[in-house]
Amino acid sequence: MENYFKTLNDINVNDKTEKKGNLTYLSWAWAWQEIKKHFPDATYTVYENNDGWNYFTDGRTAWVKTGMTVNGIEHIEYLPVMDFKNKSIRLEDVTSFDVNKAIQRSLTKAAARHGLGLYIYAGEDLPEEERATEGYGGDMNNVTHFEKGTLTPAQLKIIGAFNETQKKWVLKTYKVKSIDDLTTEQASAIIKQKEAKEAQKEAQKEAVAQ
Amino acid sequence: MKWESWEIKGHVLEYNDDLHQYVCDGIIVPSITQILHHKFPLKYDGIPKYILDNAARIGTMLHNTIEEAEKTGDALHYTVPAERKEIAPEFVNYLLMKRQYGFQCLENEVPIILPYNGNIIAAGRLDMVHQNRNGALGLTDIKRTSKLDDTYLAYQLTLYSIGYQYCYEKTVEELRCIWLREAKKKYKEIPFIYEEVDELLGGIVYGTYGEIEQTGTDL
Repeated sequence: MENYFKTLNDINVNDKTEKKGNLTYLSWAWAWQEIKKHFPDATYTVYENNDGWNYFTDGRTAWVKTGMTVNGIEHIEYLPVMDFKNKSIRLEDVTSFDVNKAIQRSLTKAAARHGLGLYIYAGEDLPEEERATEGYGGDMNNVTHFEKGTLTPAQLKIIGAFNETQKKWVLKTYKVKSIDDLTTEQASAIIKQKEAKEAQKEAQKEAVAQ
Repeated sequence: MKWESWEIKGHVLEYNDDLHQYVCDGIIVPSITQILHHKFPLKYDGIPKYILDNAARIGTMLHNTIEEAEKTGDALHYTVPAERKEIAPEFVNYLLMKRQYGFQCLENEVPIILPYNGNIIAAGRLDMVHQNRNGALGLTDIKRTSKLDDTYLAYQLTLYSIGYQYCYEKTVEELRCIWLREAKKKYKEIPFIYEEVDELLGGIVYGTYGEIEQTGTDL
């Protein structure tokens, strides 16, 4: 029997995505439809706090917690309630609409943990710096904007060791004439993206082996 | 653009002083100060920028003076350069406390990287590694803020101790703060708060906190 992760991971989601701001989104409704098509007993949970609210808060910002169970395995996802710039919304400004959006995005990410559209989150097909706003490291990348040609010696060494195809991709994607022209921020995003891709391949290998 | 560089535990850490930016293995990582900003987002809110800038300028001057003096190996006989006379009283108080409490400065401005669940999530440079009169190894932070914030210090130094122990494989036995503010001085014991720090880092890594904002230098 084929590994369930591979089944979902092999589904091409490219024409089901939509770009908003600098992020690429996968339609939640479509993702859920695909999951149920392949695994009819799949379920999802929107976790509530002790007061029965569908979001959590530390008094400053808010986040949602969702879980998706496929093939008997639940993956849990936490996602901040964010605005269109992907910045956390202050608690006093959070609306039910924002929470609903966060829940849908969170569930789509939970689906990705089961394989569906995971490569979007790993940045495999993302030409720009979308990865820069995804997850923890992405937040770091948003804080400063460096000038062209400011990559560090270590970054130059790492990207310099890429194969020719990868280097061409970098030059084309970042519209620079040479690797030396990249900014610290761009180089960081590229290296992070490559690491994510390698980690994804490892995860796939492990899943297949199981 | 000048990047300082260190090899620590198989990682390459780079730092640019002008940008206050750390890069580990090619990836931008936040500073410990930025990590602390999650827990203490309003720490310097409402203080005019010119006051913060001046505080940072004097703080850097004091830190540099202590570092230079300690590097001579005979800090007690170090003469503060004339252009830094505004921090001379604070430096003298530093020497007085050094004599009174009998600690030895082993290193200053030590770079560290902070691991969490197998990933490097932040980096920083701690003010001082010291040895007390009983031979115990400790970390010291030098502060000259108008008031001491004990909770902030506990988070800050515990984060540094996690990073230091990981990087240099030495056990940190105590945490101290040296507070120098014009004529006032204090040598304070700071507790380790590993559980609280773990909760903070978990919140950041797993997304219960929002974005990390750029903050200036720690004062």
